[in-house]
Amino acid sequence: MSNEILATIAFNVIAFSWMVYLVQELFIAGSSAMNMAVVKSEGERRQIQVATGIHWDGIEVWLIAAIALTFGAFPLAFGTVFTYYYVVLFLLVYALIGRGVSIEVIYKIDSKRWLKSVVLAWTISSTLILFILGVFITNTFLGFPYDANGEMSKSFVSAFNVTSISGGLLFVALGLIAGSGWINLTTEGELGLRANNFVKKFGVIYAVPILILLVFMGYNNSEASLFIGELFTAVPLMFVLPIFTITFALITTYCGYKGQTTRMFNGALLTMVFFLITGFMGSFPYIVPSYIAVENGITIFDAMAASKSLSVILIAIAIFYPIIIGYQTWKYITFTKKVKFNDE
Amino acid sequence: MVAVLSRLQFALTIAFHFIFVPLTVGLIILIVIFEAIHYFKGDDRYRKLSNYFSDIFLINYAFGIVTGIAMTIQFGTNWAGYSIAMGDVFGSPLILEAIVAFFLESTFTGIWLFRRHKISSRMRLITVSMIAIGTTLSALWIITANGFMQHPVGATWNGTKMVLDDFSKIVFNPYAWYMLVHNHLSAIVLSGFVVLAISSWQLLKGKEEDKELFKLSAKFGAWTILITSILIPISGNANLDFLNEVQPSKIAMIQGTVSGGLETVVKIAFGIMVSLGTIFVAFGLYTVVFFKKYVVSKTLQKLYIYLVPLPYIAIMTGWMVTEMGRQPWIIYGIMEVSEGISDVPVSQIWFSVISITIFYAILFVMDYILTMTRIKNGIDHSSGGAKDE
Repeated sequence: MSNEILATIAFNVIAFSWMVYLVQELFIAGSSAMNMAVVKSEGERRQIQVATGIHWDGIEVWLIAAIALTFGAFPLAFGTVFTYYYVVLFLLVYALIGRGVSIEVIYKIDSKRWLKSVVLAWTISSTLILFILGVFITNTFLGFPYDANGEMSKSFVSAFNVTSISGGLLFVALGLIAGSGWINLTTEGELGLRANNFVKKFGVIYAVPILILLVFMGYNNSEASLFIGELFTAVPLMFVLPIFTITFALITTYCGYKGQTTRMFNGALLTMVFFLITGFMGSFPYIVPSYIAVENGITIFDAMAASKSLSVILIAIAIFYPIIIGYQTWKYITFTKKVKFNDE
Repeated sequence: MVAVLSRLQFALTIAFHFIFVPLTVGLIILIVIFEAIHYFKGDDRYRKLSNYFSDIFLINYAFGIVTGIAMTIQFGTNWAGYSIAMGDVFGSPLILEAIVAFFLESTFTGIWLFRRHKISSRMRLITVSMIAIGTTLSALWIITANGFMQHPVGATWNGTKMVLDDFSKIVFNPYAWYMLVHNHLSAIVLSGFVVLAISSWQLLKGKEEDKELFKLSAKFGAWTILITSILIPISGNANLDFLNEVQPSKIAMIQGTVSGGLETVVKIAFGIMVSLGTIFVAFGLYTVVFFKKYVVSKTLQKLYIYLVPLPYIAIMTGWMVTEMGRQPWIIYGIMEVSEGISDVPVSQIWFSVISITIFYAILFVMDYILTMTRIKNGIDHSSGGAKDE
């Protein structure tokens, strides 16, 4: 296979890994983030905990896979982006550590005094995971201040702009919606109903379409706009992707309003899927797009590893991804039963 | 300054990560043995022991996996120069580690943590075996990556970056396999010491009805120490013979034929590791031979509680020899450490070094308290398993 094809496949595999990760993280982190607002007893908290705890570490590996794949397939992009996002990524690491540890600690803890602060840590870290990932992903699609000398011309603070903050909030909102759906699907009792009322009462469901529009408008204003990128220009039919994203966002709002929980849950996940497809398709072939001048950006062909390395990676992916997806699906089917009130 | 801080941070994060990793890698193998005996013989005592030690495994596993994420991200944040030059070669083992090993262990650990009392004994054995395979494969791939840095084979330096020639040479790098065996044995000996120490504590201060069970686990601990501590020097010697050919400068440091600050540290570290290894054989042998004496001797039991730091020290000194002995190279004979760092403002590295130190200190206290609480709670017979389930 030619180098271009290998790089394109690798890019798609990375996009796919991000998608599988983020879609699952939505409801895992989302239901954790809302625990303090919806539970009335420790028993109910435990229900949410079992429903999320059984999956969190299995899905977090998709994030590690996406990062490791970027490292192995596009080393230049990995080095450039991660160095620029130094502080942001350390915040993400702390949030991930905080979430993982608090899920296990709450489960094993006896002391009331500890419990209170660990629950707070669980809530904050889960919310932060969604927000930082939203900022990170939205910025990746928006582009970087990458100048003609191959350097970032602004500090990492510029990562927090109107578009990326809207993106961060979008992830939090979608997470809360998907999370309430997940609680409803996986727990017994009135917990699910309370979770659904929460996203409705506080207007979370109405925020999604607005935030998506804000992010898309931000993309449109950028020099490296997705919507005038290579694929969108060549194939105007691609504009169905952002339209789908907005449509699913509206469906999510509608079903949330009508109290059709399962549809709302699916709607939120599909909104995320199409948001990501739009972004990855739009930024192709740039893996580090530049909003200073489009031609400054790093394409997947500039950043790619040698074809021999890419072949090794892709063969491993071809063998192991189906196996992983197989046993993780089996786990969902086997263990997604309604968690009872006095489960453990 | 960026280089100094980045190295300090890497040393700190890897050392902290490695408090948890060897214990989980070794302990899960003992848990598989307990589950296997339970499954094939139906002996319920082994299920209780497995549940008890699984709790200790799971607490440390959680801390191990979350601190591991910091390691992955650091390659890009702090070592961009290295990552860009090495991506072709270093990336593939890292990806394989994630997709072959991490997925397996993480997926099944979730089941083990929250559902082990609701699945059949056959499913229990499968679950812990999958975790054990996952942790072993994970060690294999990361040591393959480290082995390349120590003894680069299967790739060539083209002036700006490493280019892969033959992936099978990287996988079958003899250096990595010597390391893997030696490293795994040391993890198992460590868990033997931990099991023996916990059992000793329970025999001294635990509940009367638990004591028969903990005599059993103490015996397992003692045999584990004996068998692995005999194998460790054998694997170590083979490793050393090999190093003679490929890393002469490291051997010179160990033998003390070169002088200097770093060289002396390596020499002393090597001395400590070897002495401890010898002591372990003596301890293992003594405990196995005079096991009846151990069961009644409060002094011996007390002693074993305080021995736990020793295998940790042996492992840390061993890694000091490996990693410091390779200085100043980040890839032996090809790239120096100072060339591998990122172009990051020094203030940002200060931020991460300071925040990581504080954060990890909190985590360490939490892990310590949780593990100790769990150890002291003992076995709950009413449910036949862990206390809180």
